[in-house]
Amino acid sequence: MHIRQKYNTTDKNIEIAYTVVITTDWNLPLNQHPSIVEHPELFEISEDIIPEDAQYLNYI
Amino acid sequence: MAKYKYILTVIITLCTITTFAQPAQYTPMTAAGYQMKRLKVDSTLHLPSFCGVPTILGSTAKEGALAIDTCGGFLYMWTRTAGWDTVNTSGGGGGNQDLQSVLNIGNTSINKDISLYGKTIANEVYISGMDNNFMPFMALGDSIGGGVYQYTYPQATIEFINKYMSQKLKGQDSTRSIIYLPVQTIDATDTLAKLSDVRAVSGGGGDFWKTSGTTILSGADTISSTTGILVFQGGEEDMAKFSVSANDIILSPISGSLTFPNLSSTINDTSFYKPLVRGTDASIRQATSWYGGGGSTIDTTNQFVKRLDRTPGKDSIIYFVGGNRFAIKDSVGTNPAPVGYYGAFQDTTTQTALVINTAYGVKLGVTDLTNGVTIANNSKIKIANAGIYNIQFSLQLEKTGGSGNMIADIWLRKNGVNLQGTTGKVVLTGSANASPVVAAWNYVIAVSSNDSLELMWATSNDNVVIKATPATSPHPSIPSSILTVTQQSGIMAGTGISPLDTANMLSNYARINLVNTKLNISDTATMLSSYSTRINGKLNISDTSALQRKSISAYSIMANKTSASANVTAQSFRDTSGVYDGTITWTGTTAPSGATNHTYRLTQVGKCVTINISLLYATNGTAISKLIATLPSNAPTPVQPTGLTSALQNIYVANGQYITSTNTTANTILRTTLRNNTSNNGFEFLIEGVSNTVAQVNIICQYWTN
Repeated sequence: MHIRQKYNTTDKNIEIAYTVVITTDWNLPLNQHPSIVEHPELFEISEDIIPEDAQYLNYI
Repeated sequence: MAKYKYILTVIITLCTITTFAQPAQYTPMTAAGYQMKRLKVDSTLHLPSFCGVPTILGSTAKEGALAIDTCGGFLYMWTRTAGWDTVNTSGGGGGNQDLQSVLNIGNTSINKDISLYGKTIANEVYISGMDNNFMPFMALGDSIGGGVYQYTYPQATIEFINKYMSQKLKGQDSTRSIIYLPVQTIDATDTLAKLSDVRAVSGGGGDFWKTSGTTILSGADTISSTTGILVFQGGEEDMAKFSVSANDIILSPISGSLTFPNLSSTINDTSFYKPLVRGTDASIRQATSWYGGGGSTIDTTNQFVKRLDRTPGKDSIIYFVGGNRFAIKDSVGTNPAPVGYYGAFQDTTTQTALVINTAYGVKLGVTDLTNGVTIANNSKIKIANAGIYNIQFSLQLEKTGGSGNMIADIWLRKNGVNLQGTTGKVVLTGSANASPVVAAWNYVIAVSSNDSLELMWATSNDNVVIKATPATSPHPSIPSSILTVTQQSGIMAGTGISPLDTANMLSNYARINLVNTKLNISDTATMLSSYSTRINGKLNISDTSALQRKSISAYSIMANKTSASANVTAQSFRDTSGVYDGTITWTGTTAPSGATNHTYRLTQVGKCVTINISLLYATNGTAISKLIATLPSNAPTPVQPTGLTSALQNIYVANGQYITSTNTTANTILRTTLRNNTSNNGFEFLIEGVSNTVAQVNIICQYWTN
């Protein structure tokens, strides 16, 4: 389970950036993570498999 | 014999009386014997009884006597000649009826000459129907199906009869050396004699083969000679019983082979040969036609090679098809004769020009050699086959008189048309005796099949002749003209010499000559062996082994990286690009997102690597303050400068640029570097600055590798 930045396109034929929020040092539930709390419109919790070419975000 | 029959009658009568009489009491007569003239017994006559052969009692030595063996059930009679002997009730002892008379009973066919002799040896019964030379017949009825006794006279016939029909073995001759088997159709339900049941006469004979017609052995097992080929039919067990006493044919039911051990090694047959094939009725017979693989009939008249010969000393194989002789010349061996078309001609008459400056055909009246080249109308050279031909001639020109220079023109004419550029002019000078001159040259000319060539001549003075001279010691005769024709390509076929490719040869020679000129090579005698040396010398190459001319290692370039002159060595060289496959980590509120186009391009010369990375997104990331992008996997590994080997130490400077989705370059200062990663097991680019909106990042960096 991880937090990801929401998709902003549904075109599957285009390489879409898959951004995973870094929660390595976050010990609380993910739904309490600032990215979810502050911008639920931009982030979501996902149980999908993280693709190999995913990029990462240190949310500040 | 009549006496015995009388006694037997009396005894039987007395026995009958006794059988039906009442039991009686007899008065004993005790004397040793009584004699009377007649004795009539009304009731019962008892005879002396014994158990076994009777014994003589009293004076019966000279008289007859009767006695009964009550144990064995025999009636014995005594005669002086035979002693005690049984009176056999089966007929052996009475009557005078002979065998013929017995056979005649109930048989309307009376033939008193029938005699029957028989004996038994090894469970075989031999019956002869002959008691003299006049009755050579015998008839037997089989025991199957109620056959009857029949014979046919005067034919020598053995006839087997069953309930449906008869089978006859006819025509047995007087010597009884041949048995002809029956040929008529038989009933499959009958039990019939088979070939395997036929036995040869001991000591020879037994030849049942017919010289014509068909011999049916039994059932479906037949041998037919209607087509001149024996046809064997039948099961394996039937064939296993088949043999020829002369051992000419052996059929092996085990190996399935048919062999002819006595077949002569030489077959004299003047007819054509045909293979044996299996007929539709499973017989073996001559093929009547020859079929190709496609099933179509081909050449049914002369379809087989009937003879193969090789003439000793000759290099060919000769074979005959029908009446035609063919030869195959093999290519194995030495001294193959050249093939091609040629002709050699001359003329032994003196040729004159009746009118000056008039064209005449040079006469060639004598043919010395000819193969595809002939002479027509005494001067026209007919070439049957197209090709390149060499025309070589010589004319013995002489003056017969006059003075001053006289000219003879000689040229070639093709199909009646003068060939331009073929004329030669010969000048005869001096007196007649001093004038002889031989005009000779050649033409190489392409001709089509059946082209006609003609060597023409004309003279300015009718004193000029083409002179023929008889033999004068020591030289032989001088022909007036000699002309030879040789095909250029064909004449060399088979000799291992290929015709010259003059077109390419000239071109190649020109190239070689150009090289020679460029290399200033005048010593053509040694130029072939010294080319490499001379080229290397011209290029000042002393170590040619290090000169890679065609192929070098991957990602390399040949160069001299030293400060002095030296041979080139392999240096690293790479110029490549691709999809960026590193890991990207943003620091900000949102990362750039949407459609991406991440690429890289790098060029390496020696140990210096220049890399450019472009990360393009459709949507801006917001509040981006930092980007970490790892070095692409395909990039050469940076060498860590001394003292910069720890984690997160910046090892090479880089330039980074942020650009928004509206293509606006961020107007901020970015610190960009290539550094060791946190774990110090890899390398990454770091772009760091104030918060920015970012949709595109460009990074360029130059670093060194080992």
